[in-house]
Amino acid sequence: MKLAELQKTLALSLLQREPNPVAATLASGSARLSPLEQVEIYREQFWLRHIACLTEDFPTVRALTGDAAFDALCRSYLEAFPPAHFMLRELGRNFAEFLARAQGDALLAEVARVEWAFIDAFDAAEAPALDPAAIAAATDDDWPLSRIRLHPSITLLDLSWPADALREEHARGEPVSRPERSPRRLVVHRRARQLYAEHEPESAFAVLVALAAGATLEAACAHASDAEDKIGEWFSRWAALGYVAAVTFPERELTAASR
Amino acid sequence: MGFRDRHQVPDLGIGVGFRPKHAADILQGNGWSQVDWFEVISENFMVGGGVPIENLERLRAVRPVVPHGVSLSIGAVEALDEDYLVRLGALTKRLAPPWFSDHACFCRAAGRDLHDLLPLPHTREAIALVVERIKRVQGEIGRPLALENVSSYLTYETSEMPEWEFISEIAERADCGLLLDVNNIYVSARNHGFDASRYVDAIPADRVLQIHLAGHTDNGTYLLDTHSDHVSDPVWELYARAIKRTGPVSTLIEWDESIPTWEVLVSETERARRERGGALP
Repeated sequence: MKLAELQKTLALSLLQREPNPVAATLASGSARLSPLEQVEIYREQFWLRHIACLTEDFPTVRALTGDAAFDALCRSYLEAFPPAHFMLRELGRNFAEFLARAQGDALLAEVARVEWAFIDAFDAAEAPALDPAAIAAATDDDWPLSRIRLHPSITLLDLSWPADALREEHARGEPVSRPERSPRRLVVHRRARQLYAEHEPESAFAVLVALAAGATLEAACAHASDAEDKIGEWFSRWAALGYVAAVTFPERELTAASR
Repeated sequence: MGFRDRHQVPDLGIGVGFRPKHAADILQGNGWSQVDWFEVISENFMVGGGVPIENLERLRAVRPVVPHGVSLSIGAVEALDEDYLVRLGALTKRLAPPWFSDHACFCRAAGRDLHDLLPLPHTREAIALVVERIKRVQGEIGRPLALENVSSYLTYETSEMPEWEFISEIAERADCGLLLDVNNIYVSARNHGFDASRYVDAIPADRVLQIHLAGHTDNGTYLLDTHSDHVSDPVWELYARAIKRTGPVSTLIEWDESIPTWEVLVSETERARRERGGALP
């Protein structure tokens, strides 16, 4: 058998839920293991390794579903989204989408979204927070067309359930159960090695979403009726929390490095 | 002149694989000073920033750090992942290590990444493929690759030669280094019924840039390379045999499951230091 066919046959057999006798024809066996038993070691390790990874990444989802149901969810997910990226770290990137679309469980999907946001925040690129004093020189005329670049660690989450509270309760070792709806807007981000989930008012969150999409400050503020009055207060708070990585004015960009 | 001399590959002494569990012991205390060097899993540091990159920067400021990959998939028929090579290039540029390492295996096939070190059949076809890919990767990274022998639980009908001939021929034709994992040799020897000493005696000693030591688990009908325990006595014996052939080469303890305290890990490096010293003339 040519190498390409051998590798394809073995790889696809490891993704199966049940032993695959076809793959066993590749193996020669040993004094203590049959050909099928040799291949089975790798197939079993495939499932153990990937389910362990999802278990580590989504502990609150697991706490809500129970161990057996979570195991079944993982197996279905791995069939729907077979691992394709070279980094195991990327394995759960589609888990929330899978829970929402394939399983139709919006609560679990939101919890997965929050847990994944923390993973992304953990190792996102660095961008020193902008010093509010550094932008003091900007004039009032500069601001409407400015663009605010958010810190790379930020994920903006518009949630219907208290998924962040569930995550915290589970992290403290408390039992968790399916809660009542409780809409909230979260900013998950990293600041000085620590990870946070900040709550934002609905109108401020709408402005952040628009800014994250690349809108100018003026265009972003059009998404919130009270933005004109509050944007100064919001911006100061965002800068203090480390949300703001850079501000670009029509003719120049201010970053922490600009100081 | 041997491979190590040609590439001025240093003996870094005795090191350990850096694991987040020990970050505080190593970086906040003075744990780093208790070992000579560190190895990091390359893929864990192919990220944008955050704690992993901060730790890496602090680590490399105090000790040599060598990247050890698990996903290069050097033996896959599928094309090398260009994004992987870019990230590996950035990591080696950041660390400026004397070599980088990965495994003689394949991880990718059929568009999937199995995140496993799947063994290659020991065939002429596989040798030709791996040799060409190593040449390209070494050229792009600009440093010697140390190719590691894997633990295996599977033997192929199509294999044409023993593993030591397979690895040796790849190293000679690709002109690369070797990372000799003596625990992997022992595990595979027990699983497949070959003589581990014969393997150690056959490899081109001047190409060995590094040696791995680790513990394994006896699952009854086979040994599993779990990195979850102390190095076993037969593996220490094999290590001494290898050192007699290679001379003093950089040695590293891997411990990835049931990770012990930093003190226990350091004591394992002290054992390695004694074993290495005892094996040298």
